[in-house]
Parts: sequence; structure tokens; C-alpha cells
Amino acid sequence: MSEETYTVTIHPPSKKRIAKAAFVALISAAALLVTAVLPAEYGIDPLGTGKLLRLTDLAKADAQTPEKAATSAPDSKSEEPPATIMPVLEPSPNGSAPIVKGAFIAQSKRYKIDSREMKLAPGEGMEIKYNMKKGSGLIYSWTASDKLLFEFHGEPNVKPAGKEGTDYYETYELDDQVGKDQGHGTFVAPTSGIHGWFWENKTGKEVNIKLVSAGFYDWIFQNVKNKETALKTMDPDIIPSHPKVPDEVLH
Amino acid sequence: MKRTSIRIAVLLAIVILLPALATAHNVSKRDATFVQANTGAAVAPFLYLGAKHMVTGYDHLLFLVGVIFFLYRLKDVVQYVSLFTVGHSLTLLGGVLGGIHANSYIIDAIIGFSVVYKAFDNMDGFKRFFNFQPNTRLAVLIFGLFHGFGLATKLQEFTLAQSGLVTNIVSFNVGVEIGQVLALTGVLIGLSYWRTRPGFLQHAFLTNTVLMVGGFILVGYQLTGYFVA
Repeated sequence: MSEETYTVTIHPPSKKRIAKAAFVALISAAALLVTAVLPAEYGIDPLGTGKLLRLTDLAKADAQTPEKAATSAPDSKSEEPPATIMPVLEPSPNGSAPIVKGAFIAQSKRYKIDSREMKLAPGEGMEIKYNMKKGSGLIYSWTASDKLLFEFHGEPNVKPAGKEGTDYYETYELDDQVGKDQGHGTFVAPTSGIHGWFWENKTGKEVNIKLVSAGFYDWIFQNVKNKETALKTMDPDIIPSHPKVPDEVLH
Repeated sequence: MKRTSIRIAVLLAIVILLPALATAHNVSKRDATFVQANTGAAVAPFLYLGAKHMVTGYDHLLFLVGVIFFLYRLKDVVQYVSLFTVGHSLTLLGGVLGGIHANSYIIDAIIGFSVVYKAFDNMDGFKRFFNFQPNTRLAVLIFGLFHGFGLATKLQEFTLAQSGLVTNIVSFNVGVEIGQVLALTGVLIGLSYWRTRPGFLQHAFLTNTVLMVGGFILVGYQLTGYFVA
């Protein structure tokens, strides 16, 4: 392409001019990097210019933007089911059975199931979390071959004010002293986000762990050694139909 | 007359840099959630993501501005851009399907270097300093390979579902080409207009110096990321 250029260029650049331009380019780039780009992108501010120009705020705000984008996604805020079950007993208008309002949270889709067996090497930690909307329910059981330290916790999609862009999470149950070899429960997601467990094997040997659950989740988040994976859920249809055994007759 | 061309140069710079200011370079977190939760073939979303990545990917755009800067004939533009496309398609498909994991900071630093290289080339630096003009077509092809690795690392940051993988990557790649055509059309319109002005050649050298500044910034930005992130 240059062949074409220099048939029309009036003054072909001299060696000195190119060297000067390259040097100026390098120096300007370094100056812009140190005074603006690094403070704004990484919060690295060797000369204090980032703070002076309030560019370091960008480094923090930058991390917030995706969170804000996530909240505008239609699934997280459009319908806000209650996060907790709060039944209210109302007398029947016609003298029949009393009515209990707010005893369940209705869902538009079928629930999903999950069943997985995992191994934790000594010293290893692992995280399994379910992606659930606020007010969605989960029934779970996990059993382990030995005691595991664990934290049952959730990361809301929408972080509280001032915590945007951080690894903010909320704890539901924590045992980081003795540990347990099982946990069973019914969980109603207090926020839209990912909810689940972090287990850590502090015993000297490998521990097997089995987790089974049913609930209203779309995908499962797994984090092993900082490798984040979105795992698939199973459809309840894979459970075999009612076995052909005689049912007990109730009197 | 001179003032007009400066104005156009500034306008062009704004047009080129605006997407860079407005958006982050990585696939955004919301898109990431989609990519991860997605199973099976999803042609349109991956097409869109590829196009979006290209239109907002200022490093690829800066390089392409450098490549087409002195290309006056449409035939040449098509030829060079095709070589770039062949290069980055090869490594995007090969990288993701072959599971080749490159460090994205290093790759992005090389992409930044490709901008510096092209700006130096446009200044006729190779001829003047080394008395030798490296094959420009080959250079575009080789740097295209690195740009493709850059695209691949962006997709590999997420765990892609195996079902529909090939369809989705091909869709992403086609989206990249669509985005590239869209972005190039804008750049070409700006450049063509600028070339009709008398100031173009006077400011061509300056513009390539600015391009080089951009390239150096990208290199420094990515290398810093490699060491701190």
C-alpha cells in the first residue's frame, strides 16, 4: 500500500521525523497510561492524578455497571414475589373451612431437580449454588462421609447500596468450627441471585459428598479452585413413575 | 482550509474512540450469564454478541483503521480485510474448538502491538529504518491470527455448553464479520470524505502518530492487567 502513498506524498517523512514521532507516541502513551488509564481501569494511581481528576472512582464504578445492567434484565425485577411465607388466617364467609392466604408462592414453570456426588480432597473447597429468583423454593439434602466446614449463603444479583461491584454475600448458616456431615432443609430465596453452599474439607482424607435437591432454579453454579462453571439441571420427568407395589389402604 | 481538515481529523478520532469510551471491551456480565446458562444452538444471540464485540472492540477497530488508512481502492480494502478475516476466523474457531487457552492479557497486548506496528508501517518506518518493506498482506494475515485468539479468549472465559457449540461459535464468528463490515463502513465513509480534503496527506502522518499512541496505550494497559489482575 505504501507504494501508492509515496507517489502522492509531497514530503516523504525523514528517518528523524519517524523516530521523533515514535518517541513522542511512546512518551504520550506512557503519560496517558500513568495519569489516566491505569487509575481509571485498575485504580493504580502512582502520581495521584487519578484521585485529583476523580478517575479512580471510575475503577470502582466500572465494576458496578454490569450489576446495574443485570438488574434491568427482565427476569429479576419485573415480578416480585414475596420472599417469605406469611400465612394469614381469614374466617370463611359462609361458615365452611377457614381460608389461609399467603400459604404458598406460585410459580409459572415446573421445578427442576438436581442430584450429584462429589469428592473433596483434603484441604479442598467447593461451591454449589442455585440460580433462583426471590421467593423461589428449594428442598435440599446434603450428606457427607465426614464432617465438612460449610457456609450456606447467597449472592444477590442486586447488591445493597454502597456494596455494588463487590463480592457481597449474605450468610444463612455458618459452621466454620466443627462442621457437619449433613444438612437438610426448605429454603425460600430472600433475593434473586445464586444461593448455595461452600464446603471445605479440613479432614486429612478425601470426603464424599452427595447433594440432592428440587426447586425452582434455572442453572447451577459450581466453583472449584476458582473455575466457575454453569451446570445443567434435570427435569423431574426423569424420576421413574410410581412403582407397581400395592398401596396401603387407609381406613 | 487547514482548519477544516483539523476539524475532520478530530471528528474522525471521536467517531473511532467513542465506542471505546462508552463500553467495556469484555463481553459484559449480563451477556456472560446468558452465554453460561445457554445450552444448545442459539444462532441469533451469538451473532449479536459477535457483532457487538467487534463494533465496540476498539483494539480491532484501531488496527483496521491503520490497515485501510492508505488503501484507496475498494478492491484493496476487500482484499486486506478478507486476509484479516481469514486469520482471525482460523484462530477463533481453532482456539475454542481445539481448547487452546491463551492468556487474554498477553494476546490483547500483542493486538495493541499490532496497532503500533501498522502505524509505524504507515509512517514508512520499515523502509526508512531497515531499508525493507515487510509484506503488508502477510502482516495483516498474521496479526489477524492473534486478533482471532483474542476473540477466542473472550469466549473461553465462560464455560460453553457442548451442545450446539460449533453452531454457536460459527454464529459468533459470522457476527464478528457483520460487526466488522458495519464498523469499517463508518470508518471508510469518514476516511473517504477526509481524503477529498487537501489536509489529508499533511495530517496523515500525525494521525498515524496518534494511532501509535493508541497502540502503545493498549499494550501498557494489557501488560499492566497481566501483572496486577
